[in-house]
Amino acid sequence: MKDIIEFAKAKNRKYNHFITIKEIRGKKGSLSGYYFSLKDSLCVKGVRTTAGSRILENYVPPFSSTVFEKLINSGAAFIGKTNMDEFGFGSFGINSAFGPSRNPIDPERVTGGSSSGAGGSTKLLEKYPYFSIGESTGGSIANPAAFCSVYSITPTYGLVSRWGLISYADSLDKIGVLANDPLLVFKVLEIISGADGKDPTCIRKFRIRKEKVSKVGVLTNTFEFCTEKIKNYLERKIEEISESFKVDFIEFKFLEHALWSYYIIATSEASTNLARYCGLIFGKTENPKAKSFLEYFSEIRGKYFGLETKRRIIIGTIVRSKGFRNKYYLKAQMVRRLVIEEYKKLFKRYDVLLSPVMPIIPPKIKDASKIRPIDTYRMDILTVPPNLACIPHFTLPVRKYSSLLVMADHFQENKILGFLERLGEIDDSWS
Amino acid sequence: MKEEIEYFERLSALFLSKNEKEIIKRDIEEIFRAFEFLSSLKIEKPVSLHAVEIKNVLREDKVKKNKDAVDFLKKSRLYKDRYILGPKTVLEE
Repeated sequence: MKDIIEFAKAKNRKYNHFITIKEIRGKKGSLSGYYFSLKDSLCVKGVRTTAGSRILENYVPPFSSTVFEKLINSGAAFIGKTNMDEFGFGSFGINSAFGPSRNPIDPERVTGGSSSGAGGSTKLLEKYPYFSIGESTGGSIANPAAFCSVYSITPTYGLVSRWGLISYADSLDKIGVLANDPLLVFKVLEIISGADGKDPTCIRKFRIRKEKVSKVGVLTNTFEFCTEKIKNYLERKIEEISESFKVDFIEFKFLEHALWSYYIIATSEASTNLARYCGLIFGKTENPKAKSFLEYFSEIRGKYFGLETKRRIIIGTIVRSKGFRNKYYLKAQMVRRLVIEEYKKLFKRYDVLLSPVMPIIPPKIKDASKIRPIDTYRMDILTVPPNLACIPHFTLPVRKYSSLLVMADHFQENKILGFLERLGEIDDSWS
Repeated sequence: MKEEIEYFERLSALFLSKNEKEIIKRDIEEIFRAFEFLSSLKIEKPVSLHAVEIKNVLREDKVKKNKDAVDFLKKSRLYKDRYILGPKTVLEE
């Protein structure tokens, strides 16, 4: 335990993957011998939890998240809280109040986001039996997993309890796993899943079982957004997959509609969720010099929220307002339903669907901050649709920075596992 | 748009510096132009606003005719002129 903590501490000065490094030993269980970290939006009793924001810089939760309790009870040892874009608002990991995380493959480049420290630390600590817990709203697990070339699962909404998670957008938030071993990803998911009386949206337990997979759909129009290099690497992998499966090349209808619907719904929910950080119960408190409560709240929020957070709060407030609600918010909800129905239609014909994860390689940190927000949002076009539909999706690294997204129908995580087994990514002696 | 940003800044309980206002104003114009893309999608039949299928777990409502109140009252031996005679509660002087 000392070794991994010292290694993480020494490397953190350069890579900035952890906001807090703290050792908590696990009890005896099936995960004894493993180490884990949590995204800093997941609460641990007595351990500072910031969600990557200056406004929660000194917040120490009086309770622990269900995920933390389950992992500690299963024997895994906790080593710390990982860096993240403020409240999950970002695709590159550069919007953290505690500075950007650096990619272990090339420290000049971003790790991806918003679970930036989760992706980076999983790669950096690959010599240890280590996994990281992330959270995804629109692609915050798959994105850093692809940029750091590690495996990850974002499960179906409702499989993992979100008790103790600092919310971004409640109808979209999902807790998932990143690791260097694909089977470990599913083993950890099995442990952290299951109904929880503290989270009424969490309804099912995931149990690993063998599932036969034969029909694969490749979403060809998703490849159009990728750079030539990524496209070539992934197309070669698809050719390899075609040798073992019946593969059809199909199109997904609502890619761009899904992207903008997501940004409308997510910012709407975020703008209401973040209303609680106003300097009274949650968030930094100061001696009020303002003349009114509204003035005091505005000052505190203005002082401690970052620019991207302010931008998303303003967008969310606009789309919920009278005169805009029907045009944007309600339309976005209808599009969300159409996206789900489209996936359902495809999953009647295919066991799993494939697409790229990220259309580009991770940009350099100095360049990422110059990319305009609208272009950053556009880069989420491949990870947003499965997140909007809340279907499970897995990141399968193909080459450095390039990964395939393997998607299955709601609660069909075992089909992804079956696909990986037949592909030879997992040893067939696992069960 | 500047006035609108200031209005939504107040509505969001946020203080924005002059520089932030300029940046957010520029970005929001671009972002809402992108949101307009949703208008291109013509939705012909009504679509549910629920992300998941909602099932009614309660029984269907059935309209039933009320029993006639007078017929009901008539069953009492104390019935008189659409009412039931009760005991006197106020003593006469």
